[in-house]
Amino acid sequence: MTYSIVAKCKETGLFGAAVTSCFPGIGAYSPTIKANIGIIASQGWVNPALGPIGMTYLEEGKTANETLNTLLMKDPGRELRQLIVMDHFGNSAVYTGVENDDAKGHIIGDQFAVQGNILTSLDVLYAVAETFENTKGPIQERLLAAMLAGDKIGGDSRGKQAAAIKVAAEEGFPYVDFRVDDSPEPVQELYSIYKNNKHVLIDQYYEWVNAVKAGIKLEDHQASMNKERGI
Amino acid sequence: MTFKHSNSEQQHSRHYFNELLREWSVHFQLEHLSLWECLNKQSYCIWVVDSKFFKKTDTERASHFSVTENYVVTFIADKPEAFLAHLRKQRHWLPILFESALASQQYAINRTLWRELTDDLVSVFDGSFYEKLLNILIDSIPSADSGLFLLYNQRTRKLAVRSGIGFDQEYYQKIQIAPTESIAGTTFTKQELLVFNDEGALCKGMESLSPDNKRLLIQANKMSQPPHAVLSFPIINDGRTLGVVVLQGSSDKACFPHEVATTMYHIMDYVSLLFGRYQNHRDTQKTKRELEITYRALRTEHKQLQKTLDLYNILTTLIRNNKGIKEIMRAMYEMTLTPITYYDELLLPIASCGTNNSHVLPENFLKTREARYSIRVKKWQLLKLDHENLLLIIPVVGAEKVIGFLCAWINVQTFNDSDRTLLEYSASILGLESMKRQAIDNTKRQLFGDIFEQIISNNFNETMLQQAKNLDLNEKDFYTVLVCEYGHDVSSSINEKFASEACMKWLEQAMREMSIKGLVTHRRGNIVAFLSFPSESDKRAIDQKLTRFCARMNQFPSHIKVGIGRLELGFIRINQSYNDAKQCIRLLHKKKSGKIYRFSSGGIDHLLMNHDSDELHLFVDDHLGLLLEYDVQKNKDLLHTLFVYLENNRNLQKTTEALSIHHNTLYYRISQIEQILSVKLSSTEDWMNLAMAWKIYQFLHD
Repeated sequence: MTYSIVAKCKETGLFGAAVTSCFPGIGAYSPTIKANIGIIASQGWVNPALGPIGMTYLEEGKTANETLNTLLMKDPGRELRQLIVMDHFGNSAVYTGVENDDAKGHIIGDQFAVQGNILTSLDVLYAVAETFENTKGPIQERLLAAMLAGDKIGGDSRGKQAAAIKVAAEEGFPYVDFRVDDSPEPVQELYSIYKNNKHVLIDQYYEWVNAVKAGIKLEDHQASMNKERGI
Repeated sequence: MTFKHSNSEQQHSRHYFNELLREWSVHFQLEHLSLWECLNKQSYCIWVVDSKFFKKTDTERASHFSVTENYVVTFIADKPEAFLAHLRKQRHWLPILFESALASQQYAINRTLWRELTDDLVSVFDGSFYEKLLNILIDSIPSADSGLFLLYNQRTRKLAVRSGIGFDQEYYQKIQIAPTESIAGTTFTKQELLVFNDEGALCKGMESLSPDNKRLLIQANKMSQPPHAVLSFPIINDGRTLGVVVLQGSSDKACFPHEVATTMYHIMDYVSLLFGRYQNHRDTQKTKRELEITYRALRTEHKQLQKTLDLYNILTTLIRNNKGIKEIMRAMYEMTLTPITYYDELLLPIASCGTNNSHVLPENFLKTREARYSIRVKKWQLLKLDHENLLLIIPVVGAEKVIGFLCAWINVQTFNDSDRTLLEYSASILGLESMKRQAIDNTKRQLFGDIFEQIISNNFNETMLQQAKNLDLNEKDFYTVLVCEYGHDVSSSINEKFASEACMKWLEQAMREMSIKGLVTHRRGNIVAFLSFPSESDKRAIDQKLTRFCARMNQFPSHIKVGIGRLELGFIRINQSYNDAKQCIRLLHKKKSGKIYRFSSGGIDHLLMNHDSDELHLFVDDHLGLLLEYDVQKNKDLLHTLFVYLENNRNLQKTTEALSIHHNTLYYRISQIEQILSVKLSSTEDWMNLAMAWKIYQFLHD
């Protein structure tokens, strides 16, 4: 059905995840991310409730392994699912239920994890992992590069429909949160959306956050910046 | 002309000239005496002897005496001429007096600042640091009445106001100053202390302030008028500017003279140091918190890993030393402290640990969705027992099929979810161990079957005897053979093979429970078992044990027929016991009732069994034939009366009760029977013959 990657940026500490699937609006169901806390990414027969429940365990200070074990105990459909839990430290615990269709599997890397099912082959997962590791730059760009690499190899054997990317920075202020709900080429479209729109808020994310917190408009803020720069 | 009150510290640090000035005040009856310095067309107070009654309006009636271009003495006296004359006389050393006063004030400011910064600020590690620093600076520096502490935000690349004295937070928190913007920005970029005492210079310095920031600054300012003097200095750490402190003087004549600037120049490094210390402390606290979280996480992970490794090592050792399933179960229980039972596929418990009477499987366990799903996907499932307790069902998988269940009764409040992985791992070990044991048992059964066939055919040889010895069948022990016919309705869903397997397992378990050595195998659709007893055993004790064993066999939950042969001494006599057991089965079939038949307690039946049937019929006919005929002809039932009389051993009362007749009627019938059969029931021989005929009649007609 799906492949996805979750990661913690070693330099900034930001948590991010990207997912693609032959399932409309996949981004609405998974992943769940909270800045400085961790990520829950469920797929297969997605159980979106696992995200918020798991996040409360991570907030209590439980590790990825503890959280995964507790979530599995509470999920009667665990064998139908794939589930990644990434904790505060960037450590991942992953479970691939036996009832997911082949090719299925997961990879746990250093501060990242990849999972997938109904794949054309497990090479998709290797490509996603390797590309993420070998790409430089902000976490969202590394995630997108990894997703594109998986897409190039084949991705979901049933086809493609939706994709999403999320990176959390400040609680309550979405940093990167783009979705493609229905498209013949969702991953490529996701990449285009990011590339074309990142200048709007992502490039001056913290100015925007400060402006919102201070109760002033970002436009004024931007204008004054431009004025200073002589633009 | 205005002046700023000097603080108490200054008053306490007076020098000798202070006494001199006081003497002047007394001698010339001065109401007020103060020393002033003029700088940039402004005057500020260096020293004041007594400001108690001196008001701003008093300056109009004050007298002034210019010592030099920059220094002025101001005083109020009833007779100012006398004091003016005195000052003129002292003109040549008055500049020295002023320098001393200035030095004294400088000393006082320094001393106050250093003391307060060191005593008060050095121990502040909470959010009040910024406000406290501003308060100390404003209290200590003449002319300063308000201030801002700005911190550089690396993400936004702007200076944001962290704290303000004399400013409204609602507005100042919105101020975001670029590093090139205004006085604070310039101070940040140049990393220099800047002083603006001149209105023009101040306006120029503020020129680059953005309109938004300017508006916000004006709105934030709580002072009655805009600043007349501004002093700002950077907070630098390791060559990097972290923030800026801006002090303002709003009074008309506010001024930060050179001496104050010099003091601040020396102080700012110390302030930077304090700020660095404050930041380090905060970072340390944050790191400490992070470390605590990391420690907790590491501890949790380590604990679980250690448990996993311990269990792994224990199980490996147990398997290596062939300790068996019970020990494996004990190790699992000790590691998880969870009540567990290992059931085979027929739900017969193989081993338990930590369980009590309440730990039983729910009814129709195998029909529950959870159990069925668990068998289908060969993965663990949770079955809800009540609101607090769950049954963890872990299928024990053998060669591609579920061969049993490891069941754990868990409390949702106390169970460590990670222990589930330990139980799951242990279930795999149980599967391997069970498969190993099953393979051994199957081989044993096979071997035993082969030996048994050889015994049946009286084919004894050295190899066979050695194999028997290997199977723990001692040549000189006592043996008895058990033949078991099992019904096929153990469960409607279980096939014949399953029923046979269930029966064998049940039999093996019963033998284990009763500590009876033996082997179980199949032979021609039946289950055959050798039960062996040491040669030195007492036969009565063996008999008692077999009686108890029969009682246990009676508890078998389905239709079986069990025949147990005679106890034979010596391995080679097993054949006889086997034939006895088979005869017992035949007798059970004939009797159509009963589950177990022991040859040794079978009475006359097994003699009759071996006798010729025609002869038996003749015997019955000889002794009861006439009575049978009479009953048929007369449509009577005297044979039944005779049988009841025989069964009750000639007891008249019991017989009449059993037949519900009057005793006269019984006397009459007995008399009739004696007459028809030509016998005397009081005769022992006749009685014995009729009893035997009755027994044979029963045997033949059962």
